[in-house]
Amino acid sequence: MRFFNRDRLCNFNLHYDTFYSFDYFCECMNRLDIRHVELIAGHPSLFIDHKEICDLSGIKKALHDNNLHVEAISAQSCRFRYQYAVREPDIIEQTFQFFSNGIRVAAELGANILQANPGWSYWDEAPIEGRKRATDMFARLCDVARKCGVRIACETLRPQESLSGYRLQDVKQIYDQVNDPCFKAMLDTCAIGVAGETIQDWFDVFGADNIIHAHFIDATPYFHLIWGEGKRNLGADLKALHDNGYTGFISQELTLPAYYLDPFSYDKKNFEALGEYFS
Amino acid sequence: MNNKNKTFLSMDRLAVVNILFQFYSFDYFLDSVAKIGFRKIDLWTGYPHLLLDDDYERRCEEVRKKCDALNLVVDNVMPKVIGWPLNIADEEEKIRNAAVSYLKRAIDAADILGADSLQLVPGTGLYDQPIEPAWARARDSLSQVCEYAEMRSKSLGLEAIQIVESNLVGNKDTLFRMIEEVDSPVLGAVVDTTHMEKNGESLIDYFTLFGNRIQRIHLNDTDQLPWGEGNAPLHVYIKQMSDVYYSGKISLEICSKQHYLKPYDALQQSWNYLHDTCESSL
Repeated sequence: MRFFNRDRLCNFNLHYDTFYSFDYFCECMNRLDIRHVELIAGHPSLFIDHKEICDLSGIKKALHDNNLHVEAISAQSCRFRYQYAVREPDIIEQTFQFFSNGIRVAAELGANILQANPGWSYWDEAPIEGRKRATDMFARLCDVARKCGVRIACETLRPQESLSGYRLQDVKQIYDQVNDPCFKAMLDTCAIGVAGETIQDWFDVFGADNIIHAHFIDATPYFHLIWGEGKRNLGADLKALHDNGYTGFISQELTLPAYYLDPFSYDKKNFEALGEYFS
Repeated sequence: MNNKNKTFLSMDRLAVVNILFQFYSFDYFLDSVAKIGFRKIDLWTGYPHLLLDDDYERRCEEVRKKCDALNLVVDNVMPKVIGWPLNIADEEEKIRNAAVSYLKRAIDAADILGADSLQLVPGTGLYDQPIEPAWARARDSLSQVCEYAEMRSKSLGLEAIQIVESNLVGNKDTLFRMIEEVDSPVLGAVVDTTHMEKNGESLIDYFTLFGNRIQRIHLNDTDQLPWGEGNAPLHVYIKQMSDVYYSGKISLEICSKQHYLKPYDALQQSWNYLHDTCESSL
């Protein structure tokens, strides 16, 4: 069965970003006839830090020349020094400015989502403390997002990445406490699988209106794999999205090191596998 | 193994890299290292342990005091650059300049911390672009950093890293070429036994090629796992170092993500394995 129109597919440039130019990524998406993209903001292809945003004219030109639309921006929150649950008082403000810049980039490039997570917290504190700080950070960021016409979509991470934000209930707690229409949830099928949760669990808790984005990838449940290299059931997962009335984009976030060396080849296989279920 | 080998690898020589403890506070890392029995640290300047911001001097002084209180020595500084916008080979001059400035600041930080060496990585080019321009940019950046290090009496070690981190310096030959081209008296080599094994190389290869220009060895089990969980031939490494009377420094760099959750246990296990390997050879 074909569950969605192909126009719902989105590709995240994470596996291109480290070793390939942004122009190359855009050309590859054009060749694959993928029109919607999610971009990593930080370095190297799209530089932001807590003080500045790079000149976006080259980015905009490459997107325009290849007929691409940016649906989400992910301000790098897993590799640098910026995390949503930051603890050090002198870094909190810098972190707020960094993610605010991420929101501004999203608005500038026509995206209406900032993709986020609950932060890593610290292993030598109670997880609730990290969630409290993430809540405070998101509450402030929602004010920035509102002015920019952007919403924040929060996914879970894996326990190896965060002890305060790896379960559905963690995001739900933050969601309830932030209590802002600009703060929503999103799915990450790897994190969900590692936590022993299902896509249905997430829709039962949040409903389709509050799940606005998805990192929809194969997994073992670990890793972010192209479809066919993990153990998830592609048809069943797409059915779950479809039957619950999901209206967001279906984004591919691939992170295996092998993909970084030849991203186009893996994307080609991945979209061929997905294509069977899209019209 | 003879008595020469037994005394060759004393545990006091080993410096522990704090990457393993990155989800814990720096204080927890220092307390753990001291409690287990190590005496040296190889200080990675990653978040949240030590950010080299504008107030780096204050931060470094605090670190130095904590180390002194625990009788720990900062044996080396490892500036955190991989994965950050600090690529010395970047196409953008602004990024390269920021990277070079950061490394110079790390050299200043080493002074406060009492370390006389730093470890560098080569940066990377983009894989859809020609390599030689990126190589030239990396070389030029390294030359600038070496010049500064020479003024500050610090030695620098360049590490060959894996293809998923750099397309410039990934084995002994490219490492040798880069060090030769930079041609600075303060620049030597860092050998990581994990990367070395993946390349099918040996410590003998490196000793033969570099001689006494090997500044530091990252003595790691397979895939940078805690010692005992991989299959790296520790006995062989110790013998090879002993045979050449290797007098450079040695670090233990555990970078296995699954072990970041319980770093104390991983480090204790490594201590036990390393200690027992030396003792069992008598």
